[in-house]
Amino acid sequence: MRSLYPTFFVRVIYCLWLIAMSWSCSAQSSSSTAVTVALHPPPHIQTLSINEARAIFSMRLRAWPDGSPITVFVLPDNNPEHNQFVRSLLTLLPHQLKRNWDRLVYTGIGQAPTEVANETEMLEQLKATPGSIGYIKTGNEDETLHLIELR
Amino acid sequence: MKHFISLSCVKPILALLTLMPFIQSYGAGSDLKWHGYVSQGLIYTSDNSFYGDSEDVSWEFTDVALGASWRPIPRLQLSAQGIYRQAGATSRDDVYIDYALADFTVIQNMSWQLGVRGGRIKNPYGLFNDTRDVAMSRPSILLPESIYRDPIRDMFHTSDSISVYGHAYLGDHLIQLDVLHGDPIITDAVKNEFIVAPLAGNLENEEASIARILIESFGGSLRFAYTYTYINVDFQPDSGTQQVQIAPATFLTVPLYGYPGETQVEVDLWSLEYNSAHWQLNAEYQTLDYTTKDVYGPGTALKSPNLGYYVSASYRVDEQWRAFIRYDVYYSDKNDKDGKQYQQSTGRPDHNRFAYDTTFGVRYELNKNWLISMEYHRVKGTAWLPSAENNLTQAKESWDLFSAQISYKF
Repeated sequence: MRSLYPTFFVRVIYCLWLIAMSWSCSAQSSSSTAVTVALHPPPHIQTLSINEARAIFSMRLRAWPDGSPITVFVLPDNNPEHNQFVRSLLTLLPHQLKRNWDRLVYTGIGQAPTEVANETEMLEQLKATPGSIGYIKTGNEDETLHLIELR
Repeated sequence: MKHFISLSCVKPILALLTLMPFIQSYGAGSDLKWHGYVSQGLIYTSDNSFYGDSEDVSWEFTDVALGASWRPIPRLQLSAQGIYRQAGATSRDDVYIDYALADFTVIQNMSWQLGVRGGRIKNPYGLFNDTRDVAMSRPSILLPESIYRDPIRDMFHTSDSISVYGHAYLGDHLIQLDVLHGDPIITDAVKNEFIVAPLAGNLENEEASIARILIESFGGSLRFAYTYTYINVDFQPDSGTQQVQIAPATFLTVPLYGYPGETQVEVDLWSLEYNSAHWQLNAEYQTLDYTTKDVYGPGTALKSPNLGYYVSASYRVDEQWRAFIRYDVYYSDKNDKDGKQYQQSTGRPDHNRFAYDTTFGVRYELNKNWLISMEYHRVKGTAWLPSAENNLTQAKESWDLFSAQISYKF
């Protein structure tokens, strides 16, 4: 099963727009001087294990290894790509994943991912948000985004 | 230890959290995220009362909650939620802080995380306690009373406490651990269950410790949890004495409303869940032992070993429809399941000590915001009926309950 992941038409993708300075007080205080949101390839994450991807999309993991926040984008529950992504790549049940998000939100111990209306908006949001992660159909890749393989 | 936690840490956090929207408006961090829900239910019973005067259809079944969370830095989340909740005499019928907490991630790497929380926290208890007020997150309108008894809900639901949590993935298994210590919430509804005539007085110095291990395997197909809970509550009787004749011309002065003492509650709860695309099977088994010391006389110890369990099967017809069946059993004394000893020693009905509840229900999710549910309970026994709403000596042993609910969440 796992060897099939890279061949699925849906791929995990994330864009990592590293702000030159990482999340420190000094960086924030100097950030008023025109922050050039530069794309810094190569991204510091080349691959994710299935459990790391589950931790991110289950909203348990809040930051990348460098300490910068992870922003998670998902498509609506009834979207076929969302279902395929959750079932085939994360191998989770979509309604169970949603139940987990609800538990985090309504008990105050976490937050739900940001829902985007469709794949166009997903691409726009991914490109516009440093340290974000989402998923798109294979073939819709954008050169500014970095594709990740699940191992 | 208890006072250190309650006075030094928790209350300042609660105070800080109430200021959260103001702090945030001046801060440059990420946005405040709002959430909330509203639900209105009705309860109709053939006999006995549940959530109000249900023999005439009770509408005293309302939840309104509004909350927000904010992450000033990735490691720290501040969250709070206010709630209005009405559930007959088992609720406060008031607006209050449901939770208000600070959650700080201490260790965070890609494969495991460890954090601490402080404030008013939803207790990690069984499979459903922490989301029991959210209609969409419940498998049914009423949770199985054997485990999630409404009359003592407040004491088990939240606590002003400090907790440590961790999660780690090990192969196909996600292991989650929660340990909590602090003050349980003792409300009048809980008092009514603890202090029964001829006792009268106050509960104080309450203290709760909870530990739960939850293992989710194979992407959540199998979930197993064990929860251990220990709660200690001191009883301080009202003043007043009476003369009791113990022999001809010999009188003894005894307190009218009981002696100072304590009640210890110790709970072992085992939970199991199976999930597939269409099925969800749940079973939970709980022993809950009350030990009341000194209250009925110095040196006395009265034990009440409760036992409860249920099994349920839920079928997802499609994305919107779901149907379920459940069988739920509760005994007030596992050594006297039919209540006969109780009946002989007190003269009260044997059915006050057990309850067998068979439930059928359906729910329909219009969309991600709206939910409509209905369920029917056939109950034999009266052990979990709230004593504040029923004269249990007059209660009817076999009865039916119907409930319907509509809810909205965002």
